[in-house]
Amino acid sequence: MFHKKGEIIVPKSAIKEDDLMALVLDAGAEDLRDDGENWEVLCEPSAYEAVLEAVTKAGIQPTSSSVTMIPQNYIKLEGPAASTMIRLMEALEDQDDVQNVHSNFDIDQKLLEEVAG
Amino acid sequence: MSGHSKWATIKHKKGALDAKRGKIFTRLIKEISIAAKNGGGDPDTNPRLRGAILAAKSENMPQDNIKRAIQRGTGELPGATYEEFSLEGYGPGGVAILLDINTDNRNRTVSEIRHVLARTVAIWRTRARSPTCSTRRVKSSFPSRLSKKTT
Repeated sequence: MFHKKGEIIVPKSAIKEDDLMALVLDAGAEDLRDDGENWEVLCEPSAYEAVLEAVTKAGIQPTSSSVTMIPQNYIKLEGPAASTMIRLMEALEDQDDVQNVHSNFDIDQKLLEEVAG
Repeated sequence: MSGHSKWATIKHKKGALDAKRGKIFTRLIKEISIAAKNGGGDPDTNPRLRGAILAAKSENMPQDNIKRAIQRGTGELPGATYEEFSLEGYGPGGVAILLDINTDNRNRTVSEIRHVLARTVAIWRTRARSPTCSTRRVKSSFPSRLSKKTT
């Protein structure tokens, strides 16, 4: 259900899609996705360092980057389920022994900011 | 499209304001120790340790702390021994949740997580009146991650 991937999130304002595409594919990235405000670069964990270096060398500061577990598919959540999910995520992340929380929910950006922000 | 990167972005924005620096450090130190324990204390030959150190440096962790965390991992310094494993469960609406755990006491962690899940499920049930949320541990989806890592 989850795959281990390197994920680099780049703000759209920093670079055009074509330029970023050429840049990261040369460095060994697998996929480039459009995610609203950001570009989402995916790569194999082994290529992660090379891709991240290519991005930062081009003068782009990624919003966030990590090797993480990427779900194969997403489940759309709305209403009470969505806010419960956000609270659950935060409660789990607050646990001292929990290093990372991965999940495959998809919640509307606005709602996410409302509840989490 | 993906909820994952949105969450990461929001966490990042919040993290800038977050006063929980200590917690972030604890987390990074654990990751460094575990990485050093599993793959050795040399970042050049241990990609995971390299990544962990990079993450720690980006949070401005002092070099000394990083060094101590590595030594604790390799056993040069005494300290709590952490074990690493994953837990899986389902949240509201059947969303899959995967937790990476680093702990010095497995039983305590599991009961804490169970408590968090049970509490949230209770809230969810009263709000939505739907019994679709479960806290059971699932073993089928990816056995390799779930198998107890005893390194």
